[in-house]
Amino acid sequence: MRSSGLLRISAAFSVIGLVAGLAGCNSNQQTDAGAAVGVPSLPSTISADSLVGKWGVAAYHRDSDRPRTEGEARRQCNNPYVISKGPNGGVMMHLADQSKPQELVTKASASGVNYLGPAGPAATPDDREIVAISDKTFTVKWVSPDNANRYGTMVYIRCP
Amino acid sequence: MKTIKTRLGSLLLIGAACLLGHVPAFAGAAAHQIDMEIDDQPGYTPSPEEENLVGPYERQIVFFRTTEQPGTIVVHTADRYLYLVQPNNRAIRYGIGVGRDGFQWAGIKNIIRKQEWPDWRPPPEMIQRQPYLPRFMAGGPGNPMGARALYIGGTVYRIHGTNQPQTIGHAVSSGCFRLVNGDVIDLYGRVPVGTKIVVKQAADPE
Repeated sequence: MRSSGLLRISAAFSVIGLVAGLAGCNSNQQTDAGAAVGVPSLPSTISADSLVGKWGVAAYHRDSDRPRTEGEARRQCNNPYVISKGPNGGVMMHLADQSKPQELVTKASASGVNYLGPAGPAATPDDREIVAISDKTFTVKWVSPDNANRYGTMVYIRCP
Repeated sequence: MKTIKTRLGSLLLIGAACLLGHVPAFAGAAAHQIDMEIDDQPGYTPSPEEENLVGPYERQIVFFRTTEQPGTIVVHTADRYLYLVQPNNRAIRYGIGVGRDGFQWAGIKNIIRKQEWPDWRPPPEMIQRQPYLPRFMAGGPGNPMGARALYIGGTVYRIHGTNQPQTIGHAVSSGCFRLVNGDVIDLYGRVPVGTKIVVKQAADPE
């Protein structure tokens, strides 16, 4: 109940933000990736629950390395990354360089791009863009260029 | 004693058996002891200027008296030099980073494998400290393992590149030998699989 209430409040603020942006006739079209402080967020089409579980994790920087990175991620299930359900409907995960997990939510921008990050605006530097997802795998890219350079594109493969 | 403490915030990976921590190091060429505290910088791509070593660690032909055959690799850990033996008492000398105190070793081995843009796997203790790290990172520019790797048979060690040229001349690894990428590419092109490698703490006394 609490989470759905939060979602409604979040959506309401998001709509207000969108209207405010439009009313301002901002000619600088803001892109998700270029947003320094994020864009108003909308509810994501991706359920946080779908991320809960144990995952093999691997990363790559060059697209040509993706296939073997997926294979490596599959082989990492002996040392999986565990995503648990958060107390407020999100998931417990680490932000970049943080030693303790915190609750993250799935959220979307007005352009339909899905993100994983702290509750609030979408496409902030702490967020990860969810670039692909299925029952068995999801792939994220960090919004922060610095994080993206260091951690690359991260592939999560669900462990049995 | 001169102390350098370079804490580079974010950290991620560090090559399996070969990465860093904070460590006492001995700069042989500088003839004084140095502490270097530095984390890996996955994703960092050094500038050409940073990779351009000058002074004693710059790649150069030197006089080198040895009984080893031309083509042999000789490492003098205390001096932070790797030599590739050439004919006529000469060698190509490369500046290297070596294992930190307690992680240095000696022996006679062979190169058993060569790899361009090797992958990097953070060691388990690093994953424990930073559980969010990918357990595998595909090789490429910015990878802590650098541009090339030469695997030393019978050990977990290797000669590899680095994206941290500032660590050359220091004792920063877990037993591997690191060169700037330009140097490891040069060495990689000169030595075949099977090459003999002699690892010593220091040169033999005259």
